[in-house]
Amino acid sequence: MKQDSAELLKVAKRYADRDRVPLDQILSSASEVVFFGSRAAKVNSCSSDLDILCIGSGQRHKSAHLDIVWKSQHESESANWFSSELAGHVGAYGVWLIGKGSWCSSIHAGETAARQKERRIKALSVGLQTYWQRLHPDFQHKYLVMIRREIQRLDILRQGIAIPPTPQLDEYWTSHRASDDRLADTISCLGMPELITHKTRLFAILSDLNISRGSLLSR
Amino acid sequence: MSAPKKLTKQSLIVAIAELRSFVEEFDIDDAEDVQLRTDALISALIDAGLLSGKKNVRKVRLNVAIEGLTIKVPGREKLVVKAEMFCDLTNSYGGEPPQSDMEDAKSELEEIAEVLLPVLEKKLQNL
Repeated sequence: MKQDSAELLKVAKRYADRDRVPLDQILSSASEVVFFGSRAAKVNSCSSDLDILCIGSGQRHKSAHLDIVWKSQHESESANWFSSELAGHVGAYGVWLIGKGSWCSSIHAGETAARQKERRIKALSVGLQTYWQRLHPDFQHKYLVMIRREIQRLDILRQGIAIPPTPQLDEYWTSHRASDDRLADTISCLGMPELITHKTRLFAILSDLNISRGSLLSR
Repeated sequence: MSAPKKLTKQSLIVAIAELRSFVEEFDIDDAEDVQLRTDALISALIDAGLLSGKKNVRKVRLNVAIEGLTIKVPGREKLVVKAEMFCDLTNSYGGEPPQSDMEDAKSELEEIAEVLLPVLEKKLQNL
């Protein structure tokens, strides 16, 4: 189920006022404006930010409440865009405020996005081990959850499915963690032996760091 | 977050080293390393007792950290804007910021360090 665009616009106006962002100016300079993420999919919590994709020329804005992403007209017509994680997600979960998203018919779940995701997971895992002792415990926890979510996303990309909003990933993780071996397979495909030292899939990632499985569950 | 720690010479040396190595070893092709180093720097500032109490450290971005530094920083407002820009450039959806954004982020960090390093070093001398 998707949220109504008028409702999302109200939220956008409230957050833009708070962040002192000229929303009217942004809306008038974009050829397409699409809400995406958890608020568009109506799976948000009250603290969720509002994600907006604008096609055109503008500057990124990110705060605790609002994330405005810009893609140029040229980028939005490229093969890279059609096979990207974001395009796939927006195509499936986006709510259009301006424009119709005619490009959505060109979206195809790309191997490129999966390869990029693989690279990112490896880099995060290696990096986390390097910086572990230098990170505040809250940041340690943040990266554990981040890696878990990225592995879930990789698994989904490989199935050729659009990436759902993060709260849905967390919900799936919480409800299926005891029986689902898919993530174990995904991890083993990454070809990082240090990631599969345990029987239990993802928890193996940071076994060297003495992390309990419970720490991967909270958000 | 618990009450701010007492500032010690050792923890300040670590924070200075963290910032210096971040600038010197900044790799525009490694967004994840930059992301982790940013949080390692914030962690070092917290550990040195240089940040006023934050309830949720996980959500502290570099601009928020600089805004909350408990020492006098000349031109702090300008620095906060630079740090905000740095965070926006290095955090894209899906974690794949374009190389041009990473190059801009490197410049922003260099300018931040240009102001912040002397401030931290002066504090160290006065301890």
